[in-house]
Amino acid sequence: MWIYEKKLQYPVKIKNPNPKLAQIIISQLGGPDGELAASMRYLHQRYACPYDKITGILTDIGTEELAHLEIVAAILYQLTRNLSEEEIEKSPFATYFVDHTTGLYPVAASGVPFDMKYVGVKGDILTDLNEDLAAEQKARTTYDNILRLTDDPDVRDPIKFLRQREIVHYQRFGETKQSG
Amino acid sequence: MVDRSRSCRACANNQTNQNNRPNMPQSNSLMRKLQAIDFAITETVLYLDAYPESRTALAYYKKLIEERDRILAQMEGRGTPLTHRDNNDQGRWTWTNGPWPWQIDAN
Repeated sequence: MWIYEKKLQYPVKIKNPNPKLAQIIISQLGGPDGELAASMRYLHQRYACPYDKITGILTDIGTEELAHLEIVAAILYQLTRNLSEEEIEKSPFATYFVDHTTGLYPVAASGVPFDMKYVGVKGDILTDLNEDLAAEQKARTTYDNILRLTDDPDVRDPIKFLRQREIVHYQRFGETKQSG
Repeated sequence: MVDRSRSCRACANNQTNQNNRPNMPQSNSLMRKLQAIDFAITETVLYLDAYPESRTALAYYKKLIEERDRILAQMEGRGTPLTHRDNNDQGRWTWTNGPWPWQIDAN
């Protein structure tokens, strides 16, 4: 089961709101390669996994991805505060705002809501591990793209942390696949 | 100006509800220390999941947990509890006190 710890895994302190950037970063909340997809993928793959060690890794990385989901949410929350109506109107964020105000609803940057179709659970551990390796790389690429699209150091800092974690997860899944 | 107090009466902008603010806010540097040690623990846990026989990793894990306990002892009774199992008998239920981790005051 899960107990919630009232702290972020990594701090988020963003001085400058930026709804346009929020609309891009929201892909890591509700997009195909985002943290919600990652956590659902690993946490569901673990149930039919026949090896304790791998079940452990899927549980622990899946749980960490929930914590990352929270970090992305924190980034989005801080990027969308104190907005003037004019700022919202002028930015692509207006189309999200009309339906969700500044609430956090998992969608991709395109506005497509989160879909479990992004997640593979094949019930075969070798297949699932290969899915996981690809997933971590896709997430890393998405973070690369976010870094390409902003200079704000307050935003870049937690994004770089999250990106680094994807790389480490990839290595862990790789080692697991090798030893299996 | 769109602020959260208009869309949600229970919230006020990006601030915590003033009525729920604890009297003694958590020290930022203690929270940072806890975040850092917990991160080291997470890394070690993932490693141990893959290499459960590693003596070095096990020893490091033990050291980290001890350090974590020391940090938690310093944080006790201050600010908001870390989990709902840590209410620490402060005479009232403080678990729901702000700030919540995604709010700027908590970072």
